[in-house]
Amino acid sequence: MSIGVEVRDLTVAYGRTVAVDHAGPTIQPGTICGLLGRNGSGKTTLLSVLAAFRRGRSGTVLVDGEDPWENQRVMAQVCLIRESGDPASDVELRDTVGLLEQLRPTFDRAFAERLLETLELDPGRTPAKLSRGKKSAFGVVVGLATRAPLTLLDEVHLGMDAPSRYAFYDTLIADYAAHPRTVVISSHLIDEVQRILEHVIILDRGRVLLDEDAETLRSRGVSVTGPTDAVDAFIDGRRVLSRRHLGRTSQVTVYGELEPAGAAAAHTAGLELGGVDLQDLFVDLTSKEAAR
Amino acid sequence: MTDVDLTAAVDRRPAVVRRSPVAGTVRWLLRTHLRVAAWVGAVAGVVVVVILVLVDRFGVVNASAVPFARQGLLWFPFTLSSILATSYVNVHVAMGLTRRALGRATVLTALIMSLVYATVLIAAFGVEGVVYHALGWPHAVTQGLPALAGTTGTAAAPMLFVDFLLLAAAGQLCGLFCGIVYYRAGGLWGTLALPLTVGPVVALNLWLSTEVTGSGTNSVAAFVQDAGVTERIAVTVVVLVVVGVAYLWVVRVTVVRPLTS
Repeated sequence: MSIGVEVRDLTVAYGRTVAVDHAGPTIQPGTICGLLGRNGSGKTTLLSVLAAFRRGRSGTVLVDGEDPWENQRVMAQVCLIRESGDPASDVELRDTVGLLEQLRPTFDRAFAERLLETLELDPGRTPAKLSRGKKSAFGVVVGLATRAPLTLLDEVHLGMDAPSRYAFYDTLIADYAAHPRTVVISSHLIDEVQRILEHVIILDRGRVLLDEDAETLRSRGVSVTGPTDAVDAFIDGRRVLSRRHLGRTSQVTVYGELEPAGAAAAHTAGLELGGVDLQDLFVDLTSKEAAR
Repeated sequence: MTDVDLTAAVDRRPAVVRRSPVAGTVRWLLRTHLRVAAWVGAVAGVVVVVILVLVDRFGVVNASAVPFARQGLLWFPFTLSSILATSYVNVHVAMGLTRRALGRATVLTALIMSLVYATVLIAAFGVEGVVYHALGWPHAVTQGLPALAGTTGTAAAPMLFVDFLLLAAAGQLCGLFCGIVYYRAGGLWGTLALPLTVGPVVALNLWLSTEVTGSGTNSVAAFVQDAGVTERIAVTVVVLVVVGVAYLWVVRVTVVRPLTS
């Protein structure tokens, strides 16, 4: 089961600091959506409003068609994991899992126990006695095993080592295929998560900078790989997002859709073409906004 | 890492009992309260026995020890409830449960635990009476509601039970209110609001004590001095209802605070 989100003109402020500024992203049901943005761009605040952790100052938030604030039907379908989650710090992991099983209608305890084993978490320990990476891993366990129709994962990878992160990505994909739902992932590790994203929302200083499906986004640019001289000649006059060199080989990401003639010229010059790297696009878009 | 199919549905355990938000939360909170209370009660029991032995060795035991637990009965649940109110909101909401359910569950837990505290202490009072009788000590009650003054043994038990019940409820409800105001408003405003949040529990502590029945010259003191047991109980219940309603209102508008690392 999946549910969608519709936000209209949402503003959230902490005192005089505006964290979300007239934002209106839409999240389609049954997709894995990446919520990207620099530090302080409003990602966590937006997710907190969706999960009824807090309310906006103005605007409309509809989760499955209803305002989530103090709405038991909607809140039961939403699971927000903030970094390492919000478990009781002095309660053993197995007890928290037991409590979630009783209170979360979609929680799968057997799945949670298998994840605990995979991520090498001792069920007899309390979160207070776990390292940051292990705390994050437990957040992942709760986030995935809850199987909430709207699962919000906010920087859950913080502190997790690479094997654990890749185990998380692989498990998320497999479980998402078996139990389709709406997943929103907020992450700084764009390189790692971009392969699993179907939709991307980029926030910048509380505003939605971009809100489109990942395929459309990838077609906004192209990566060109080949001999440095040929690459330099090809990119002449195009907007360059990033440039990498390895010996005499270069890889350059350029902005803009490639016209058929350009693609043909690239092949003639022996250049390899690929999709745009989301991270390059993200850096370009957000740094341009910052410069304004 | 193990190479297993993590999404496979192979669990053959009996179906779990899913609980309503309020029932599940009450069950969880009661477990937490009872575990801590059991530890504190065990330690306090040992301390009381040691004190009685020392008093008997170097002086004269002439009153029941159990009523002296009144201050502990007030401030220990107050502290525990304050801690729970400040540390459990995010845990509860993160499980997809409403603040309304949290408010109802915490108040219900407070009332159940008040009954538990009062019952356990009355049972302790009964056991103490048997021991005192065997050792020839007078089992007099010198603390609590004015009606308890001068009573002894089982005759004091019903009123002592009411006294314990009200004290424990006052401690817990005021603790919840104090804790949620700190959580909602932050350290500065939580501290400035202490007269409103801790004030009721201090006032009720005096209101339910024999100490306030001394002579008074002004009208307030005279009213306090003249108030009978029924008035004391009624006023206490009214104050607790007001505190409980205020707590339920604050908890419903409380936002979950950002994480601090």
